Amino acid sequence: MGATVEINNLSKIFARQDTSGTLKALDNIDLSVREGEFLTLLGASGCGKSTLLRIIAGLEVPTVGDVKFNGEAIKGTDSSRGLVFQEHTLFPWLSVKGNIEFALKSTKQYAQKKGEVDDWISLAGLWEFKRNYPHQLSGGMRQRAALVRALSVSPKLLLLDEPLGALDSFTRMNLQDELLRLWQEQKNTMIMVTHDIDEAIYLSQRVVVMSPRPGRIAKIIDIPMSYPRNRASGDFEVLRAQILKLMNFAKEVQEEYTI
Amino acid sequence: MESNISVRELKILEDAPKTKLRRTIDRVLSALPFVLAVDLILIYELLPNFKKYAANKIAYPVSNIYTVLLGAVAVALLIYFIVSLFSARAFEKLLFKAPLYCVIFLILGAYDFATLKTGILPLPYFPWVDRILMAIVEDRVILLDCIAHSLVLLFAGYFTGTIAGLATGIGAGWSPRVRYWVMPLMKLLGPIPSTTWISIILIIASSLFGGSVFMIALGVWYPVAMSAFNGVSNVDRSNFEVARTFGVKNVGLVFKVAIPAAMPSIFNGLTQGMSIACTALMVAEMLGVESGLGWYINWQRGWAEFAKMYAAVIIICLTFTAVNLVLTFIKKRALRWQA
Repeated sequence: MGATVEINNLSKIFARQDTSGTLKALDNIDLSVREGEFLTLLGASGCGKSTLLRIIAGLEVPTVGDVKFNGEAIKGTDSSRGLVFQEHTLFPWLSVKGNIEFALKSTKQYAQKKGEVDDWISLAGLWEFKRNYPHQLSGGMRQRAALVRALSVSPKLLLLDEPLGALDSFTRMNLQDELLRLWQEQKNTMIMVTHDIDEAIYLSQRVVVMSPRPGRIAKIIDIPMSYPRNRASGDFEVLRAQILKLMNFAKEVQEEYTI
Repeated sequence: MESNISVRELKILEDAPKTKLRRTIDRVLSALPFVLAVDLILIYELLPNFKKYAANKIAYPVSNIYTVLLGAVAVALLIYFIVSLFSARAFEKLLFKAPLYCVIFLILGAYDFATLKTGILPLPYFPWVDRILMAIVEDRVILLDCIAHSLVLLFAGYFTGTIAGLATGIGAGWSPRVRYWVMPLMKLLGPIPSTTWISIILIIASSLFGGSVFMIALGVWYPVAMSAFNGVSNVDRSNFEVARTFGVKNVGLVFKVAIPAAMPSIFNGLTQGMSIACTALMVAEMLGVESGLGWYINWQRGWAEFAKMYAAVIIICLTFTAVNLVLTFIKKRALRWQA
């Protein structure tokens, strides 16, 4: 059960903190995300990928253009659009169990899904830690807990803002596999922001490569490989080289732009 | 990976072993508080009192209350010592506390010697411990009544101030409009010690109790409001954003996110507020209210009953310590989640 996202002619301008001026973060974005798709937004920092994600989540409003979720214009946040941040994602005053219950209670699903809480905790591999508070957990554990908390309310669309960015590479690769398994099980639509090319190729069906200042879509690349993917395969190498070239190109464009 | 070695065993494994001499000294040290407590009883009971006091038993009565109290302490210490022979944990705790206990007993012994036994420190300013204890026992009914009155006034003021402080602080932290109106008021009233108002309150207030509640509440209000304001306005924005993605809105964000996240700061204000409330309570009782421990001290001062004043001071110390222990206990439970 997934959802579609339609982004038309979207631009976002921010008021600058340091001066009284404004800054264009996103410029004329057109993108349509298919139902049940795993899509990644890839780009260097400053390309507006997180801003795009926050607009889809309903945390920011677009300056120009519109975003439709399942054909309807987005107005504010909604529990059908889940979001997982890079860091500081769990409520520190609630235990692992309490965090998941918070999500279920807030979305009024607690009565009906009370029994699933323990399953989600086990799925995250946190059974022994279910009564622990976030500061007692490692970074990887916290991120797994945040992930299952977002999934527990069955969002049609899950937005992931570099959810694995702060983790070491082993934990990261494990969680990538977890994420794929959950996606294949839940069949929801996934949009993930990352700056890691390998992660983008390993996980997603399409990679949206973005260029910075202002954020634009440089190219959308199909990843035609079947799951599970082999990070060492020839196809993987070819795609990596192609995206790297594209991102370097994007950088050159940006340099010309600033000069 | 869980290890099945306990923290204690780990310490034994890793620390350098104690020498035999050291272990003997430790054992003796752990028995010393008991020995000193017994000594104190012996000094009090057996050493002859100062001639002047011994000659006039009606003006300078001496009781067994001190002996009974010290006896109870000595028995407790003896039991503790015996338990420590079998429990390594109890031994460690006793050993840690032993020097402190010893010094307290030495001071008590020295004080008794300087007052009751030799009269170096004269009456009425320096009553011996037994005399203070006798005052407590003698006035126990009225002292209990004073404790009750003080606690009622303290908590009436404290809760009123806390509720007002939380309402203004959380409101100002959350809503810019509330902040606009409340902040100037807080900046104006905040630096004025609430006891400043007592002379006005004594004149205006229709009831002294109500006036005192107001004064205590005003003192509590400021630190609680300030800490709640700081706590709420410093909540990490991502907490609100996460909650919003789960559909939590407005009032829900305040009660489910802002307040729990601000709790550590709020508890700082509550602790600070309690110490201000205790001060304000004493001022109110000494200057106006005709009941409570502060009033009792003032009343006894009128009669130059120093033993009774010290008795009240001890009761105040015990009462406020108990109140703060309860507050600390609640704080620890509520902030279990903190690192």
